[in-house]
Formats: sequence, structure tokens, C-alpha cells
Amino acid sequence: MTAQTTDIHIIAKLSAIAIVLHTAEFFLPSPIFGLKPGIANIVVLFTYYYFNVRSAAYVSLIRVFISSLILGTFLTPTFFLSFSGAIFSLGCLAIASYCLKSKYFSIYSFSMIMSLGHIVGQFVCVRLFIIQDNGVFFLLPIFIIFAFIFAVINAYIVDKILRVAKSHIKNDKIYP
Amino acid sequence: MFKVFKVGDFLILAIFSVILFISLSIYLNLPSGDILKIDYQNQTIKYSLNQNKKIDLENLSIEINMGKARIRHSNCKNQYCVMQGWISHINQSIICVPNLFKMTISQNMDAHDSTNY
Repeated sequence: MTAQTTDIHIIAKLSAIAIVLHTAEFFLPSPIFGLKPGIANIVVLFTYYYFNVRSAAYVSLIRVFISSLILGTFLTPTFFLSFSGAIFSLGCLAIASYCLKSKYFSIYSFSMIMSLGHIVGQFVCVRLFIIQDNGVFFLLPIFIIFAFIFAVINAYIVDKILRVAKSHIKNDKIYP
Repeated sequence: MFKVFKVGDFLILAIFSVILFISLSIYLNLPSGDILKIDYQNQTIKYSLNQNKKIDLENLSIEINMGKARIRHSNCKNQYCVMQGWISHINQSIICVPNLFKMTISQNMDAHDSTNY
């Protein structure tokens, strides 16, 4: 199944926005190493609600690869952390979109599931390849708390954007 | 259609807080160990933690005080290892990079590690 040309255009634009957000986020100071708000996931979540899981996967993976090339972290541990987090959160999003009905689960659920998947993926990657010690799991509660906070904030932003986008785009695919 | 919170959100929230609670309880109720393992100058030395002892090594000195251990003095520049303070739980460790020093607390039986809890 080939996507429409306009869809490809919109996916490319959304990927560009995600790359810009991810690059800007890289330069934000953070109190704990690796603690970031994940504002690029706003775009991924928006893409999921606007198109589907496949387009969200495109945007997320293009974002990871291109922004790592821009920042010069391609094939470094930072890139692999980002990549594993993206893969896990996309997997969680795919499972959630398959299992959960949008009648009962709103955007906040999907955002929380994605952020939790991101954290779990990063910890699995760190434990397996970078720091091979169970001590890394001591950081898990801190990261889960902040994942929850940022997931709620991101979902709120996506909710606001979708309300605006719905009146502009006149597309019934939003909130599938 | 745009009602913010739905029924399932609270379910996800509950699952989220259960995961958080489990990880926090593991974090807060770590079992305390009874062996202090010191890796220094290419050799590993084990000490029991149930004693009061002061160990003087070449560049630093360690103190063991009934179940907890710390670095008392070190000749390194930043003194991060001294500022770590006391450690008493399994898998906690203090390292001193300038002196190539590492000490870890573990349990008596090597077959059991923190994955059992």
C-alpha cells in the first residue's frame, strides 16, 4: 500500500519538526544525566493520532537517525540509547494501539505507555551493553517519576495541538 | 470526543503507579550486605562488614563500622570517594578513579545477587 503524496509531505514536515525539537532538546541543561523532557515525542504522538502507527514509526526513526547525524552522535552510546528507547516506545505504542480502544483510553494513556516504554528500552540497553551491573536499576524510580510528569505534559500539549488541528484540517482520522 | 480523561486512563495510571511503587520499594528496602569486596592494585580482598576496623592502604584508608563502610581519607584531588559517605546495601559501591580503587558490598553467598529480590 503506497501512501499518498500529501501524506508523505506531511510526514516529512513532521519529521523535520521532530528533528529540530530533538536537536534543541539536546542543548537543554538537565540536572541528572539523561533526564530530558522528550519534546520530540509530542510530534510522534501527534503523528500517531493524525495518521497511524506506521507513520509515527517513520517520524520517530527518521528523527533518531537524522538528529544523531546532526549532533555527531551517530553510532555512539547516546545514539543507541535513543534508538532503543524509540524502538521500545514504538513497540509499546503499536501493542497499545492494537489492544486499547480509543473509546476508553485517551491520549494520556498512550503518552504514558510510550514514555514508560522509552524508559524501559533505555534501561534494557544500558544494562545489556553499556553498564553491565544491576546498580543501574537504582535510577529507575527517579526516571519513572519524571517519565510520568513529562508524559502528562506532552499529552496535554498534543491534546491542545489536535484541537487546533482538527478545526483546520477537517479530517476525521484524528482520534481514530 | 475531546473529553480529556477517560476510564482507561485511570487504569493506565494505576498500572504506572504500581510499577513505580514496586521499583521504589525495591529501591528503599535493599537488603544490607555483609561482605566488603575491595578491588585495588590488581587484587581482590574481602572483609566482613560485622566488625569495627580501619584499613590503611597505600593511598587511602577505609573504615568498616558494623555493617557499613566508607573511605576515610584519600589523596586524590576531588575527594568524591570520601564525600560518598557510608554505604551499607548490597551492590552499593564507592570508586576512586585516580587511585584505581573500587569497593563493593555483597552478600555472603556469591550465588545470590540482587536479582533474587
